[in-house]
Amino acid sequence: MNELRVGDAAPDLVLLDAAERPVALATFWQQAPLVLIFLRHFG
Amino acid sequence: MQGRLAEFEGRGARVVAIGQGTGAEAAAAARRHRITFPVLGDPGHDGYRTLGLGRTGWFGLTLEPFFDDPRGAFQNLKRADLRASANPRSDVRRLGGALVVDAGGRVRFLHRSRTTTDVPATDALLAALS
Repeated sequence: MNELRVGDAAPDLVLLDAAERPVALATFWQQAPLVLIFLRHFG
Repeated sequence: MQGRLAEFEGRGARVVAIGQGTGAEAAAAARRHRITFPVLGDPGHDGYRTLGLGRTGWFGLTLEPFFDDPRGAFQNLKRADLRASANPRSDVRRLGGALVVDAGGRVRFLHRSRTTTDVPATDALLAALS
């Protein structure tokens, strides 16, 4: 798999919300630019 | 990030945090850290792997941060690493990162942390929204 780079299409990751429901990140950036912070852990 | 959230929202952007764990653990972390923007769980670390976010070794986890950023390293230990290490879904050696995606779904900014204290400057994230 090629490494993701600036200019590439963002990967449409599916993650879990508080109710453990799947959330596709594309639903966010389809509405507005999105800043994603990947935490090291929840601390 | 929480302290400067208004600057991101003022530029029409949304902020989302992602962590290693379930959605319920993400919500608990949001409450614990008083985060008002969405926090999502990635229990299988798929997002981390997709972005190519790496893992540090034991030197990078223990001693290197004190050379790189002593204050940040102390905060990491005090706040988080010990608690995270007790969670089987949390890989305490996992490094973080940041991604800015425009409304067309294109990557405008990508940061892969090199060390546990390497975080992108908030101003760099804001500049990527310009």
